[in-house]
Amino acid sequence: MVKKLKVGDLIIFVTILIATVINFVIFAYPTQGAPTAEIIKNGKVIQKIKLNEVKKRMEIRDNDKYHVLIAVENGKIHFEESDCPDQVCVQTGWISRPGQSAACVPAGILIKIVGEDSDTDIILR
Amino acid sequence: MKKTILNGILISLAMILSYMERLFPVALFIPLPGIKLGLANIVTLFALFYLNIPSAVAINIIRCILVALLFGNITSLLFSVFGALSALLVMALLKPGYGKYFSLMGISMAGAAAHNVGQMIAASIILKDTGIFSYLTILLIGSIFTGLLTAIVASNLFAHINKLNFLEIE
Repeated sequence: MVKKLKVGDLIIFVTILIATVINFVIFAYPTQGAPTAEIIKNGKVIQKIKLNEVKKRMEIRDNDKYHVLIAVENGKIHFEESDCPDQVCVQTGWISRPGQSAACVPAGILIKIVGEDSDTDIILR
Repeated sequence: MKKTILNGILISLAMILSYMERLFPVALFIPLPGIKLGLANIVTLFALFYLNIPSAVAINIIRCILVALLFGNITSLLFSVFGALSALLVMALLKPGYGKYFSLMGISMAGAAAHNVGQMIAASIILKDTGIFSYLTILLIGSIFTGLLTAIVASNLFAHINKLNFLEIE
């Protein structure tokens, strides 16, 4: 099996690894700042939550196309329940670091964590 | 064997493989939500190497539509069509170099990676945001393994088919 491997196979393997690194740097590289969850529905940010500022459990519901329950707890966020057919959103589990994301594609909802400056309320003049 | 009959058999085989994948919990071994083995890709490889590109395209599109009608919905249809056609496009482009530059391993890995990229594009279109691409990083690493696995199955299959010599396509 291994003897049949060609030089192009190695090139493909390396290309995939390079693509993985480029993709990580562009989309998943953890940015600085306070982890802020953006809940995006149909391309629009419908809610922004500074995860570390949520002291009590917080629930966000969306009953548009599917019944989706998003929960925030201890600086983490996840899709807790969804009646969508594939359940990938629920299986993704908790996310908390900038650069992470979770999505319920059938419901059209994306949770994206970005690093946002938490000190914007202090402006030095 | 008549080509129409063979195409029909391949569509049903691809459908069964797509369905069986849903029953087999890959996520237990590789904890990545949404990861699939891509078994139907074995059929695509077969169609590409023993039939032709139009047959491979037709088999894939019909398979996606039938699977979506039976077990899925419109979102899953868009997903699977984008994934399947991206994989097919890349594998068809690499096929002329088969034997000389590439083995099935490389072609299948490239197809699996393209499948994931295609699905991410479909997801981004639906979500109207590219944020989901952060998830592609880990899926691409997974595609190396799933691509190798389907290549191993396909190369064993091809070796037997060539030995049996039963496949005289009219």
